[in-house]
Amino acid sequence: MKMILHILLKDLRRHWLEIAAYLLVCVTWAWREAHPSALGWLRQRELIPILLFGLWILITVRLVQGECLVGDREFWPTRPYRWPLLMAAKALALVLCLNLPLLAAQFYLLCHAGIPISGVLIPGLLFLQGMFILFLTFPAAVLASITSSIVQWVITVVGLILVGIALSWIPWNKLPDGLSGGEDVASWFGFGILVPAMVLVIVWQFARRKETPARWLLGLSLLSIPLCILLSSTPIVRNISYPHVLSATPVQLAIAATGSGKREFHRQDSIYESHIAIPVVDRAIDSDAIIKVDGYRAVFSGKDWRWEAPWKNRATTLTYVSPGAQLEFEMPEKIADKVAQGNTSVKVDVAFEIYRLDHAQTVDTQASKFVVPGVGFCAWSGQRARGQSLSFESCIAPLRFPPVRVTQIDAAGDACPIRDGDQPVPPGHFAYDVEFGTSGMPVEFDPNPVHNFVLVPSPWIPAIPDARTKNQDREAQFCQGTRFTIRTGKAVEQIRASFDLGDIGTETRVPNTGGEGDE
Amino acid sequence: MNAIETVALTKRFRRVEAVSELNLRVVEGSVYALMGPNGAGKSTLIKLLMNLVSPTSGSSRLLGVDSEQLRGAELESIGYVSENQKLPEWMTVQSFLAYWRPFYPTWDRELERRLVMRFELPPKQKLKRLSRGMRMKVALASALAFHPRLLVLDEPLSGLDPLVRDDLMAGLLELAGETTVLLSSHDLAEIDNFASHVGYIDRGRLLLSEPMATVRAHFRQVEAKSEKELQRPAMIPPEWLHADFDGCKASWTEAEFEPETSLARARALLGSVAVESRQLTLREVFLALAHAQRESNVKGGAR
Repeated sequence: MKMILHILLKDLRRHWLEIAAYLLVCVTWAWREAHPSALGWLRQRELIPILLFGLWILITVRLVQGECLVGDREFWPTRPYRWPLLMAAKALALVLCLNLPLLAAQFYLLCHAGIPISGVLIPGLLFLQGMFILFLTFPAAVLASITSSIVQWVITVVGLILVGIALSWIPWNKLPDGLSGGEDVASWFGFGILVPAMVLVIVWQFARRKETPARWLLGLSLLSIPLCILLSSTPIVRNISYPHVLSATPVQLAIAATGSGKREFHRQDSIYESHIAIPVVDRAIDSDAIIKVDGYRAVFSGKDWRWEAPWKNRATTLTYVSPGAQLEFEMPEKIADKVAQGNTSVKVDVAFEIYRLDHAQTVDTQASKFVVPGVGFCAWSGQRARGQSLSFESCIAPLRFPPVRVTQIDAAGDACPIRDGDQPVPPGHFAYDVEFGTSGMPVEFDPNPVHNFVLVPSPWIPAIPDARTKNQDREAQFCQGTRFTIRTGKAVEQIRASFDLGDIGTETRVPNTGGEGDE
Repeated sequence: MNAIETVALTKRFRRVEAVSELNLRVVEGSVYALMGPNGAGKSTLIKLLMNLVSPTSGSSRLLGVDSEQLRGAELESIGYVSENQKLPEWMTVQSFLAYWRPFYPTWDRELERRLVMRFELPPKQKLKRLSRGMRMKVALASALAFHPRLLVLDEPLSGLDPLVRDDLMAGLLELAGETTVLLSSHDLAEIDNFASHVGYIDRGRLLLSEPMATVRAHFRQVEAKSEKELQRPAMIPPEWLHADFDGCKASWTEAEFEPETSLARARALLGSVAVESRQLTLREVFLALAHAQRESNVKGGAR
């Protein structure tokens, strides 16, 4: 430990200027995040984070290259360094100089936002620091370990970017659609190759200083990125990420018939292809589930023909309030014509995620600041009080959003003033909104742990026509005093199921309203 | 015991063989001067010894440890100074020496103080503000202050003015004590006076490795005089380096000089001649070896 501190102190003396600049930028950033309207000359929100993380990377590279791991003219390799101690000293310096100030800034931001720092938040904050280490410090350090100077490091990064650009020219869109779950599995696979390879490279470099094999290893492991893109659309990854189930699921898709019980589908032609939309409904969904459809495919079959539509990555949400959706397919016009002749039956494979909701909690918004259980806090600002919607800045969530949140306002809970010409919302009406979290991680990958969110206004169900605006329905707003329920939930299952929709009925032509097909 | 030992050590950089099948032995306690022209492979050999580059084949051992296994503990008794080393120039002399202290259990504060005084090092001065000679002195001080068992110096005196060079060498000899020293140089004046052993390397091959006394005894400049014109023998003995025939006189550098044998051999080849010999300086030995190597290369190339 003594030796680690000895090397650490040397590094701090060596890089005090960069570290001081980083601390200054970190303080400015925290101040700017806490006071968005202050510091007019720093209006450019992106500038400070770029500077902050630019310095983060610079310090990482400089610290690692302080005892350069490449080259045969270095002084230190002929001195009795113990490589584990050297590596530990560098890691400690990086955590102390980079993560610790950022963590302090995050504490400040949480306190400033009025979020009490409880033991619940600490693991999340540490996890967030871990993400910065994994996604920022670690790659920068690995590249620094196989380059001899900051210039060589920059050249390597530019080279990697150019390789990335060259790879982007590959017509990836020719590949079949990958589903989000499949992309996740492929990403984890890539992660599983890249991270151990990077660990091996940096440890190897500290222990052995043989940059040629280290560079080769890193280069080969980077090939896992295009490999993952290729893998994500393969049936094997799709089957892994969405296991096929035959048992009963909360999804039981059937054709949604019209009010008169007629089955019909919509068709729209462009000069390239025909688009067919089949209305379906989930007859099994319950009020505790949210279904996120990630993609689907179908087999169309007629009297003496059969046509298979490939997997499509189309996200649709099914709830017990709106259990219906349109399954859309693009197909050659001659197939669409066959479909139009009638007696076409369709079998669909649907890949979906099932979210289970916790019990509902009632939120009373009468107080100037109120808790949204499982999400965060909202506060009424003086000027936007009674009669006004919450502003964007009014609601904050620490570290993350729940994977899914559902808000429901019942007519009786509506507290918004009735506008001229409107009637009070009749009993039995309600507004229902589903919002998904932005990532599946335990915390959002954002230096600012305070996230703003919006309580989204949604239309009343059943619809209430807006007396003042033609062809529009009234929306339920959040006003001071509005009582609503909130339910949060998480994904419990990711599966694939097959449904025989039977005869899809008759065609309804939709006139072409323009768009890409008309070019 | 050998402080340094290499077995068929080879380093190839693509098509260039910088060190070729080299077998070197440096006896413990000796001051071994590794000579050779620029580009002969001296620095590569030293980098191989110090594990700064990896060998293509063969092996080397320093103080009984395989060079490729040289790590922290082993390096506590080995000092290394090279003209090409990148020193942490942002450090002051004082902080530089202070930084290395905890790394060496045998670091001698008193010796450090003496070295600083002996080399007249300015403690508060940053290394980047020092002249090249002063920087070498600082590096040398840091390599001597822990009483290394082995000191490896790669062209430490190259490019230094004679005053600094003498000063550095005097300091080194004064303070090195029982340390085994391996020193590479292409300037023979540096090492003539203090090396106990000498090795000559050219094109990656070790052509000579002997105690200095043996070199001095065995390498002689021989001059043969005759009353009639001397004919160049069809076969020049391999011990005769850089033989030159000029009328009634012939001269060569005898690499295996033995008074009786050498005279008999000269007379057998040249007839009745008067033979005189004189001891060579190291510089002359080096030049004779360099010439001989060049001639052999030319012949090899011609063949």
